[in-house]
Amino acid sequence: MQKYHNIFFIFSCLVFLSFLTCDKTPVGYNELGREMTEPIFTEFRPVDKFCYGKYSPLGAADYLVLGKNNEYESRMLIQFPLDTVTISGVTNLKVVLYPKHYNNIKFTVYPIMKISEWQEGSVIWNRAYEGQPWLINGGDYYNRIVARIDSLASDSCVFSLPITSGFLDTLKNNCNGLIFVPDSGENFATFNSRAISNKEPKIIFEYGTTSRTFKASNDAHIVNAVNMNPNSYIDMWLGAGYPFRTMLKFNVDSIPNNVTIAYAELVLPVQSYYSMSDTFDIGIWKVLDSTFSQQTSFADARFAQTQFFGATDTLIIFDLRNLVQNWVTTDTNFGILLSCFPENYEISRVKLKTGTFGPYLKIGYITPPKGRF
Amino acid sequence: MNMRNINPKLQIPNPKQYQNSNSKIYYKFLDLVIGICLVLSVSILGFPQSGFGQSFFSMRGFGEEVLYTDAVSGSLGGLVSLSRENPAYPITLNKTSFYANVLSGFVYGQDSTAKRMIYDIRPIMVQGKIPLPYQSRFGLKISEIFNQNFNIYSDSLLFSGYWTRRHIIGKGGIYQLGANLSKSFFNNKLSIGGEYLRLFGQGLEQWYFEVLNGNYITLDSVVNAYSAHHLKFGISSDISFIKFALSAEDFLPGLINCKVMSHNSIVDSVVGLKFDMPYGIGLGIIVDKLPQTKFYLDIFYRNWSKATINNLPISYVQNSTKISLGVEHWLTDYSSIRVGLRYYTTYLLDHTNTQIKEIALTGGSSFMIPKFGYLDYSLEIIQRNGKETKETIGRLNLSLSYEEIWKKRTRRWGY
Repeated sequence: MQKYHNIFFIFSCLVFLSFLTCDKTPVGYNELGREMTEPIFTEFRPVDKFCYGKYSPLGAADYLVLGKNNEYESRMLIQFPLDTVTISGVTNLKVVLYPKHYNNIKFTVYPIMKISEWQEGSVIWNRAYEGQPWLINGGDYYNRIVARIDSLASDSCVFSLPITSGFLDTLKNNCNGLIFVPDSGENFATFNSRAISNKEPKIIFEYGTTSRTFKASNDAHIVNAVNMNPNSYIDMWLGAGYPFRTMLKFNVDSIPNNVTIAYAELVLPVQSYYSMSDTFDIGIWKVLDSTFSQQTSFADARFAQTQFFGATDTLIIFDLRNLVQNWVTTDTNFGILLSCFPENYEISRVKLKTGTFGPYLKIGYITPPKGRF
Repeated sequence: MNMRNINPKLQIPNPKQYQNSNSKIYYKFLDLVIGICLVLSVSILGFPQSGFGQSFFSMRGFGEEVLYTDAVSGSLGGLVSLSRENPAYPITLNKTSFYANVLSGFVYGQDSTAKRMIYDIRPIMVQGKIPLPYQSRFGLKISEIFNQNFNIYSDSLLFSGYWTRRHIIGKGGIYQLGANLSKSFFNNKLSIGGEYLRLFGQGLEQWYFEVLNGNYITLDSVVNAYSAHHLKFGISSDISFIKFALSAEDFLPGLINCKVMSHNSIVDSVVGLKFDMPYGIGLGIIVDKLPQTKFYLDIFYRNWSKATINNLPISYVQNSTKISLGVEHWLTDYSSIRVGLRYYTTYLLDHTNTQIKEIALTGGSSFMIPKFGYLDYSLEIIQRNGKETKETIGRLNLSLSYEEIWKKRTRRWGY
């Protein structure tokens, strides 16, 4: 018994000593005896900036957005591979969509004109594909309503199309899929695109007791921003769906190139925001050209990203230590590009404060330590 | 010489006799093993947040000098000439022997404003020796000679509204790997030995700079790689009840390669920095007049004022002297207790140019492990003082010794 008592005593002493080791007091620091400089913290304001909005191909998105409000309108385009379908004997024709974000929107479905072929990877509001504009911005469709939906169910959206021989023939041979146009309203809904297996858009041809199902072969949504034209040299907007991009440049030439960047926070004060979701991501890319314009190229891979919580965040903060270290060390500072990420994810927008209350970059740096000898 | 290896009374015991006469030792041994397991388990599992470090002075000079490595020496005040650091030790060797040492310790540091404890555990020496014909023996050794483990924090300081703190961790040190050869003369009354050791090692300093607003941590590193040659010479004698040992050592000029790494690139480097460490001499005396008790005196001096870096004297070093006194009392043929005292003026000056000195009270014992060898331990309570910074060190040194006689195989013709 005595033996175990002794063991317990030793163990208790060791645990007690271990707690003492957690202390972080500066004992012995004076003995270091190395020459050290104090850290320097400085604040930089942008010396150059540029903001623009642009149509962006959204065909690769996982979710299709449909709806409109005072600022945005988003339409959906869906094409089915109907080359092999038999149009005689059709007793019912249904389209099935799976909503992700359910909102009670109203929309109308039209067939897309045969002459207006569109490509999923490059279709945008004002063009069917690269180099081929629509006849009318927003998609070319026959002015023939094939379906009008007044309410959406939360789990799936199923609606019927006409089964007249004329429409079936148009659908198979004389159109390039269907376009979904939102009616007036203030809401947006999202649907699973064909990238989401088992939840992709479908069309079902029923022949009495049998049926054939076709999954979407192409789908995309096209977004237009209505009456939203930022001043390129004053405003600082970031957005997705209809992307707004802001480029900023900070002149950090005053920082010696042999220092270690210990702190580099880019602070973006938020003036207002709009988003279909509670949160969305904002990314930073390195600019590769020396001048700012809509044609300025930037790195494919984003350098950093952070999540923005619209309800609570009034500042967007990025840790740019590695980037600033790179600027300082290599003298290749062409600036940064800010945008929502990914740009094809739903619709969101942030307007940043400008002027005195606008973005700033706070940098702290130290000189590297001296060697032991 | 000083310890069991030359005690003529010591023979390989009959295990039965051992069990009968020393059964209590088993229990003591069991207690010790459990204690060691606890120490090691707490060391390994319980200190993820704690700092590793041997001394709050280790960031100066070459670090903390390791003059002795084994627990027997440690328990007798820290012997140098009367220990395996002397290549002429022991005078006789009729067994193949292996030794391994682990050193652990708590260092409680304090200065005028703060107190802090750091902890360290590390292997410190592995050595093997084999007897050769003509009363000679050959050994190989790897051991630590300078320790550069440290772990210090700066105060939290406010700059432009930002709280910052430095945290600097040192790891590594200078080690030596070498071979020694010695021979006994005059019917094992005198032994002479020499040792060549190649110095190598690397000290890594990790300089963390913390900006507490936002919890940003930046890391810079300082790496020093060392190489040099170390020569030792020793004499041991067993002529009368007063036995003595002499040791002398010197270094050939060595090289240091330094580099400072920041943001994953080398921002400063020095290749081939020459350094010359000074010679050291030691004298040890054993008084073996009483039947079961021996008295030890060991003095070691190193002429640090001759040390240079790039042929320039080093400003923060001073000649060092260590004086150790010890008493060893054999309780049984296989177990002894030891106590010792040490006064040591180290080679380093602190930041106020005051020489760092230490006083140590030491003790220890041996336990025989049947059919294997010995487990020795030493406990040292050390007070090490600069002008402002003071350290109280509790150090545990464990030595495991394996000793065995070569088994002679008799060959019979016709079988």
